[in-house]
Amino acid sequence: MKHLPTSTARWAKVLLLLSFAMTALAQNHAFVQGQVLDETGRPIAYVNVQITGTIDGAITDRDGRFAFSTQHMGKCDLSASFIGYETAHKTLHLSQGDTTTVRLILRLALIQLDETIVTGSTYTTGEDETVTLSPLDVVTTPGASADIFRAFKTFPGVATVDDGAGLFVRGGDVSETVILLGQATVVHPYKYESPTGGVFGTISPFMVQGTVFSTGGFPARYGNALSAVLSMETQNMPVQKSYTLNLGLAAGSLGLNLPLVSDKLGVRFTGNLSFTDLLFRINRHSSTFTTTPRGHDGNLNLIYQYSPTGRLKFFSFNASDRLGVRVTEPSFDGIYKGSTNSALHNLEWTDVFAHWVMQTSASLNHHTARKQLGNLDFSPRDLTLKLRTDIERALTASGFLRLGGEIEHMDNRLRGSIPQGDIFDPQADIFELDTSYGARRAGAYFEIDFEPAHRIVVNLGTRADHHNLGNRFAIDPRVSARYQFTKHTDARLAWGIYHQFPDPSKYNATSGNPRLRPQRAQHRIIGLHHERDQFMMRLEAYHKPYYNLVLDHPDLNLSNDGKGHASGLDLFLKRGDFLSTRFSGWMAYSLLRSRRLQVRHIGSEMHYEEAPSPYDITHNLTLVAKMRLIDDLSGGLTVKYATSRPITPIVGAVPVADQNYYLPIEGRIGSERLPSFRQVDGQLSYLLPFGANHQIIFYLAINNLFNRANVLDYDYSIDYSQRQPRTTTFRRSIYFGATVTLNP
Amino acid sequence: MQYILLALIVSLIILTQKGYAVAQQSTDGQNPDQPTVKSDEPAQPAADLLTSGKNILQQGINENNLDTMYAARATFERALTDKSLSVWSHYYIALTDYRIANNLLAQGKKNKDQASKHLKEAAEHLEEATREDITREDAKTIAAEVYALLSSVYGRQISLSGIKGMFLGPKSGNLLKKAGQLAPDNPRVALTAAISAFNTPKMWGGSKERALEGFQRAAYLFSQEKPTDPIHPVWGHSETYTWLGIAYMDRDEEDSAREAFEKALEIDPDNGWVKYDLLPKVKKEN
Repeated sequence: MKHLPTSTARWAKVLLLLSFAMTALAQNHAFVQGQVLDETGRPIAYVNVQITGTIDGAITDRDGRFAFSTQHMGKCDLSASFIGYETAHKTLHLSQGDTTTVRLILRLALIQLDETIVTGSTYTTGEDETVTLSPLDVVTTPGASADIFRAFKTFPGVATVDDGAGLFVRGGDVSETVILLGQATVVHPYKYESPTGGVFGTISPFMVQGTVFSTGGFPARYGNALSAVLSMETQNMPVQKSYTLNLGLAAGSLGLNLPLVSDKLGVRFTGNLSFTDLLFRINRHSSTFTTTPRGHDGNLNLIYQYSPTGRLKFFSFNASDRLGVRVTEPSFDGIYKGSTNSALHNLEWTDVFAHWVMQTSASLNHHTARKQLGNLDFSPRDLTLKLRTDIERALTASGFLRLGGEIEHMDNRLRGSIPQGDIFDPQADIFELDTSYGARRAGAYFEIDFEPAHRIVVNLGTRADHHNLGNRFAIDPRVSARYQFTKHTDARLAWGIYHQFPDPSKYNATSGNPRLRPQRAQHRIIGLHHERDQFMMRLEAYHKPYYNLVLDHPDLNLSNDGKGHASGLDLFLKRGDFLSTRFSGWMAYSLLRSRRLQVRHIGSEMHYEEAPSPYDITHNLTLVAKMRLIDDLSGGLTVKYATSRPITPIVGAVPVADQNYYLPIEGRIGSERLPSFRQVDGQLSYLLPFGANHQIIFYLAINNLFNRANVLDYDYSIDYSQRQPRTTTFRRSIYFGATVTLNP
Repeated sequence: MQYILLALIVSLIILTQKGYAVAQQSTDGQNPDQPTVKSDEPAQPAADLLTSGKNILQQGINENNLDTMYAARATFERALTDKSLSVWSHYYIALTDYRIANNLLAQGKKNKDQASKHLKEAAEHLEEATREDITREDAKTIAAEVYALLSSVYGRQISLSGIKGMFLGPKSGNLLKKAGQLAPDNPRVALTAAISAFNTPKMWGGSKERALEGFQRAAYLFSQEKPTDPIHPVWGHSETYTWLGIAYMDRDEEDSAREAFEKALEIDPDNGWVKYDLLPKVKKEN
């Protein structure tokens, strides 16, 4: 028995050691168990519950329960993730041997935070899922002539003022819509420019990857725009070699997409030649053109992806056009000759630096024109240089912070011979004009996207701009919010201040006013958005008061006394996608009331009157329908109806002493309206594949199917005693052509 | 007395340990689909998750059981933590999403939204995988598998929304080309290319002839495939014969079609698509 104690002691020692070791092993683990539920308290099965940064975890069972052990101790993060839900997190404090019980609630994931969704009144094109229109939808819109601007004219909030491409948004003038390409401002976005914009947009839809078109309530990153913004992104790296050749009745074009070094370097090029002679002849339009509109343009896009995150993009665009037309005005009759050359070069650099996505660009717009009529020979030229930087980062809690700044330098020169008196009198005194002026605008902004509560997304931002002429600052606070009350339906609100500086030419001391202030508008928007499968509905109401608008002034030439407001309702219904569904199309209806303080000329006197704005189109309805008729044959129709615009009738005239012309006496401003605008356009296209990868698309478009002579304005006789309607030059016309695409 | 005490202590300790073991087993045993948590063996845990996830996914496909596929997805998601294998985790999450989307779509059009969500997730995971820096010696094989699957996912997205064909079509074709260059004899790459050729409309470069040849070649390549790494994908052998059968059906060659379907079932007796849908069709028509 004497030994026993020792051996017992030894055993005890061994066992004690053993037990320590084993307890240590058991206590080396912590246990986590619990349940994962959705917001309504229902369990969710197959949720991955895991300690972040480790592979320790488990999958929930049918009752949403899980249990697992881990060797990870102390403070750690437990996450629960399941597709369609936002990942939930919980901080745990684990200690050896303990069992921690947790309950995790998963919230239904909302559509990804995206500014185009936060902001109401925004329509997009591109390849994303959230876009309103795909690029193919744009180019196949009947009547749009494959033009981005014309396609957007079928959207709510855009008024049909005439049959051109000008974007008149929510009672505003065409100059209140700013056009951007990447970060560059497109100073001259229209071809064959006119006071209502122009006939076409300058940017080819095939050079554009995606667009964001906002008819109001847009965020702080967009500056110097009173009413609307159309922002276009240039194409990315081509993934495949392809060649496109298009030949139509009035245009020919060639396109090349070449990936030079796979995923590193790519080039895209398009060249277009337009000639309308044949078009007018075939359609037997007794045109007033002495030189039918013709032009050519070239686009070059070079993309260099120098690292997985870094990219340089160079975009260059150069377009020329010219035309000659017989002009019959009250006081003269002659030939107007016009030619323009527009170029835009943009170098853009994108990269990621420590969580910040940076985009910087330098752009140069160059525009020259020559306008000749009788003794008048006038050549404006402008040069705009713009530098812009935007940086953006994700915030810890789902949100974004965006900052940016820009400097825009405009340099204008006007040269020419301006006759003093009769424009066609060879004896008339000629005033030789040569004047230059410049302007610089600098702006900066910040924006935050955040979720103050579940299902609510807010975009909050402010921008500040300074203009050197007039030396004025403008501060624009803006906020927009979206509340998603069901998976498919959300409500949107937006409010903001918007400033736009007057055109630099308006600051000159002789005919303008050097002390002009920026024009201001306030946007208030409330909207409802519903989207389900192939169906989309948007309803928006807005009120937009205007202040400090530039207005003619008897003593100061120009003043900021203009004011007004626009209110209305926009409805958009859309179903299907072109090619994906047999039928597709959309309907846009806008109701508008827009009034402004305007000048009424009675002889040489000026009177001010509050009256309907020149673009107060009360009802504006557009229907676009497309259908796949048989396999590869598709057809479409666009129907447009618009209450036509208010005009100011001329009720009399007073002769000017010693001159053979008259000064008109205007009736009440906007007291008459032109006849309503109605137009139906049709289009057919047929796809013919050949070879392994190639195809030909034949197309036939009939614009203004019913040959309606829409009235654009009235022309008056020299003494204003008689008037006759001036109707559209775009009567029924047939256009056809073919596009060949080769993918070698 | 001390012995009794010792015995008590020992048995207590053993019991406690066993108890834990039992407890742990019961946790793991709740669902046979669920992988076991082997925290004690940290050597290959993510790899284990991947191989067990593969089995769960295969089971889900065979049983046509969405729940099981979701369990597989969660398993792969857990393996994402291990950076050295995350390219495979992304790959398998995407593969599962792709299978789930196909399953949802087979059930009817009303699931289109849900299916699109899975396809979008699949594309994102694969795009993530393509960005991973793979320095392993089998980098080429991995990249080829990822490209081929991404090409299929794009193809499926195009089938849901034709408009995407404009952008995703060339992307999809390009990926297939790259996959073919990296691993010309990978049977899944060959299968994907053949499916793409079969489903792509002629005007976008599809060809049923080329598809049939492709399926035959894929079938041969599968017969030669000898998987070495348990993580590498092995799916597609039975599916190749399924598609071969479909291609024959398209040509009204029913005997060949039946033969192909039978071969598909021989490789995978649980191939539900063939068993319940395709084979009865050729049998009925006869």
